[in-house]
Order: sequence, then C-alpha cells, then structure tokens
Amino acid sequence: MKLCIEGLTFAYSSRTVLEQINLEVNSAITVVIGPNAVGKTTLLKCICGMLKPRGRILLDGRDIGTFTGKEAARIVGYLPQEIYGGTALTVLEAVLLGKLHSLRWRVSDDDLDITLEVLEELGIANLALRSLRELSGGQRQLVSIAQVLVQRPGILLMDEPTSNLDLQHQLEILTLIKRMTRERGLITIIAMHDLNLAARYADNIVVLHQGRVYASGRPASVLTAEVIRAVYGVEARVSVDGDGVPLITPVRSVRDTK
Amino acid sequence: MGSSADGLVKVSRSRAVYKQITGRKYAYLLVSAVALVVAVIADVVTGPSGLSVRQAVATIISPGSADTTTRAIVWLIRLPVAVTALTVGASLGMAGAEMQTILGNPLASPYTLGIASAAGFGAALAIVLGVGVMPVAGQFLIPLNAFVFALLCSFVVYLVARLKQATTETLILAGVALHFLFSSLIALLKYLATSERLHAVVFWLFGDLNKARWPDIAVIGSFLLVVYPILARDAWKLTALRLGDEKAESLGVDVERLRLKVLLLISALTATAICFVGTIGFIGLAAPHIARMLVGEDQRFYVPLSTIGGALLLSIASIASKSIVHGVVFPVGVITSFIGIPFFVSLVLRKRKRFW
Repeated sequence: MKLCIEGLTFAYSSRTVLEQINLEVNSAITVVIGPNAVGKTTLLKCICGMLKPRGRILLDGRDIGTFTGKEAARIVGYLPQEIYGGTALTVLEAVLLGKLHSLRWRVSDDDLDITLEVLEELGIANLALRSLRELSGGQRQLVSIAQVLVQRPGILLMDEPTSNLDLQHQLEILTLIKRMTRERGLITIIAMHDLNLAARYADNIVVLHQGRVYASGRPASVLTAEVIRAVYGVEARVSVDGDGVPLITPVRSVRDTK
Repeated sequence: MGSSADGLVKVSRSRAVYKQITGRKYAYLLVSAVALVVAVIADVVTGPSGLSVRQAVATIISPGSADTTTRAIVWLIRLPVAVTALTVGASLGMAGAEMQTILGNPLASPYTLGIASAAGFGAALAIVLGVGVMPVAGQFLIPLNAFVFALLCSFVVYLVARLKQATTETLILAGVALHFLFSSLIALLKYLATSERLHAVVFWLFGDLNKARWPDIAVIGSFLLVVYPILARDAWKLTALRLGDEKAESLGVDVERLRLKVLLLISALTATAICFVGTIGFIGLAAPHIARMLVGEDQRFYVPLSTIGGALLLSIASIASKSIVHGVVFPVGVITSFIGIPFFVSLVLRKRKRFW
C-alpha cells in the first residue's frame, strides 16, 4: 500500500498549521518529529479524516476524502495521545469497541473471536475481565493498541504512543508496533518526541518545521546536527552506536550563549 | 478438519469469556427488576388505611373483584402515586445516566445542573403571575412552563459544555450559577405572591408524587417508551464516547451530532418527568452511579439498570415518605434530598477514585 499526501494545507480558523505538505509513505514505520505545536497531531488527524484539509491524501490512488466515516474507520486506526483511564469497562469490552462499525445489540462470534485473538497476540488475554481502571499505564497503552488492531486497519496512526511509559515499556511497545507493521504490511505513522527512539525504530523520519516538511528520509540521513539545530534550536552531538543507529546527545539550547 | 475443530474451540472460548462478563450483568438486571416489582407493590400497600398485599394485588389485577372503597383507595390514591414514582424515577434514572455519559461528568444530573430549579421557576411564574410561555396552555399552564424552562436551562448547560476546555468544574459551576439564578428568581416571585399563591409555589417546589393524575402519568410513561429505543440504537456509539471524543471520532462517531441528539432527548425526558411532580433531586445522580458500579458503562446494561434503579429509589422514597410518621405523608422531594445529600458529599470526596 502507498499513501500519497499532495499539497496538504490546514488552518485552525486563521492560524495556518500545515502548509503544502507533500509526502509519500509506504508500508513501514514513518516517524514524524518536530517541536511542540508544529502540527504533528494535526497531520495525523488530517490523514484519519477527523480534520478536513485542503490538498489531497491518496491511498493507493483513491482520495481519502471520498471514504465514508465508516470506511475510514475500517481502514485507518488512530491512537490518540490522551487515553481515558477512568471508564468503567472491562478490557474485553473496551477492545470490542474497536469493532464499532460492525457491533450490533447482540455481539457476533466473529467480533468476539477477533477481539480475543488480538488480546492473545499482544499477550494481554489474561486481562480480558479486568476493568480499565485497574490497569497500569503500560497495560492501558496495550489495550488501546489492541483496540486499534481489531479494526484490522491498513493505516496505523499513533500520537505519542510511548509518552507515559517507562523505558522497558517504551521499547516493548515499539518493538510490538514494528512487528505488527512488518507482519501485516501496515502503513504506520507515529508522532514522537524522543529522537533516539525514533532513530532506532523508524524506517523513515519526517521532520516538520514551521508547518512544512523540513527533511525526510532514512534516520541516518535526516538526524544530523544541522537539522536538529535548525528545527529544535539545540546544539547536539550525533554519533553512531554499535547497531549503526544514530545516537543524539543534546548539548545546549542555541539561546544559551555559553 | 483440524482447522474447523480449532475454529470451533475458539468460538466457544471467546463467547465463554464474554458470557463471564455479561452473565453477571443480566443477573443484576433481573434482581433489580424483581426488587422494583416488590417495591411498587409495597408502595401501594403502604398508607394510613391498612391494605394487605393480597388485597392490593387482587385489586390491581381485577378491579371488579374488589369492594368500592378498596378499589377507590388502590386505583385513585395509591396506584397513581406508585406508578408516578415508577415512571418519574425511571425517567430521572435514564436521563441522569445519559447526561453523565454525554457530558463526561460524574456530577451531572438534572438537579446539579440547575434544570430542576429552572423548572421550578417556570412553574412559579405560572402560579404567581399566571404568565405562560405558550399561548394556549389552559390547565397545563404550570407543567408546560416548567417544561420550557427546564429545556432552556439544559441548553445553556450544553453551550457551556461545548466551550473549549470546559472541565468538570466549569460545568458544575455553571450549573450552580444557574441554580442560584433561578432560586433567586423564585424567591422574588415568592415575595411578590399573595399568601395563597405563595403556598401553592412552596408546595410545587417540594416535589410531590400526589400531584400527578392518570393522564399525566400516561404522558410521562409513553415518553419514556418512545425515548429509550432511540437511545438504545446508539448504545455502542454512546459507550464509545466514554473512550474520549477523539477516539470515538476516529471510530466513525459523529460526536457533536450524537451529543446534541441525546441532550435533546434527555432534556425533554427530564422536563416531562419533573414538570408534573415538581423538584425531585438526586435520583438522577445516584441511580447512574449505582448502575455504573454494578455493571460498568456498556450502555446496553448501564442505561436499563440506571432506569430501573431510579424507579426503585423513588419507590423506596415514596414508601419512606408515608411511613416515617404514621398518618403523615411527607413530600417525596424532601426525602430524596435527605438521602441524596450525604451521597453527593461522598461522591465529591471520593472524586475519581472508585465511582468514575
């Protein structure tokens, strides 16, 4: 599958957030980075159809704007940054909601099967009967991912999927996303702040700066000291670790004179 | 062969896990429904002139078999009160459940959002000044006025809720402000009223199940029966709303439209229920909380249980109103407030820990 974004422009009332974004995204992990408020979330919301931008977003040649809400919900799985933890639902019920478009008053065997299958795949079938409110942050994140995966989407959009997790969970979640992306040939787009995690897990990186694509490509070619200075205003040392992955060590803000 | 057998095993396994979740919920629904039937019968039996359960049930089932006095007591006095408690309690329970769902707020209820005092103001306006908002109201002047003001108030609440970043606190504060606004307007009307009309206003504000007659009850009951199927059709979407607006939207729910539609329905439901009986607080707050604790927020169970729970709570309050002092019937609104205030305080103190 291939996702083409052509001349995407989006403004909240008078404030233009994204301007003339052109991108081609393949079945792989693409990580979108950039400073706060640069429009990472807005870009994801445009792709999943929650916002209506100017320009075109084509999935294998078909304009995403022509999908009905139902179709879009089946093709695009979106994981918002904020996840509600206070809802009185069991894990099974919450994940079942990912199948919203096919749920009837009587829940079908198919929907139940897929739900349990995904829970098993993610290793959280033992939590099926637990309430969402009893879960840890890492478990809750896994449940949200399960919720997206039961849709069997072709496009996976994730907004900061690791922001509230400890080191081990960050790595585990991203490894899982990488595995799912490979196995199912997904187009996975992740908005993220952590440059080192992005460097390790991304197949491609897109750098947003002032509403435009500043750079894109393989992590090693994009994550350079120059790019980081220009986009983040930070002096950084970039080395290559033992696995050939760029390693970014931020040194100081360019605003600090000494 | 192997794969189909495998599939069969899996089907029954996921269904089994699901049944573990829903089985308990069906049990709660069944138990509460039985409790409600018992409470309604107890409500009919309770009162100054002694009536046995057997007599009451027999008179309800076949009115012709009973003597004139018993028939009059049951059909003209006791049963209207009991069925009013049933329908009004159910309406408040259902409206409260959906109000908490669409506003994403555990403290939302007709009472805390000022809707009840708005209805009170509408009623007082009609009683004191004879002013109606509808030209041809006739005998329905008071309930109609109460209805319109209740509706008006819930729209103001909705507008506040729609403001960006309207948090739990903002909403409740807006509700409190509206409550005070209408309370002071009511006070003003009381000041202006003749002593006769003052008495009528005070009496209306108490919330009293004796006010409703059979035609009123029919209106409340049939409205309830119309509204529920419409809400039930959106059961899954409303459940998804509790995952957050963004998540619901990404699943294809038109969040704004759903909110507006449901708010319209439940405002009308609340207004219909309280315009005939006056202010009855806390049923719409307590019933959803109890339902949520027992069956969670799957709307297929949560809303029915909250509805039955509301009816049950008000029936119990009705029984209490007749039994505290022998021969005296307290206004039921006073009873529900006394039961409700400690409940409300405990909710505020616990905040998000257990109930929400």
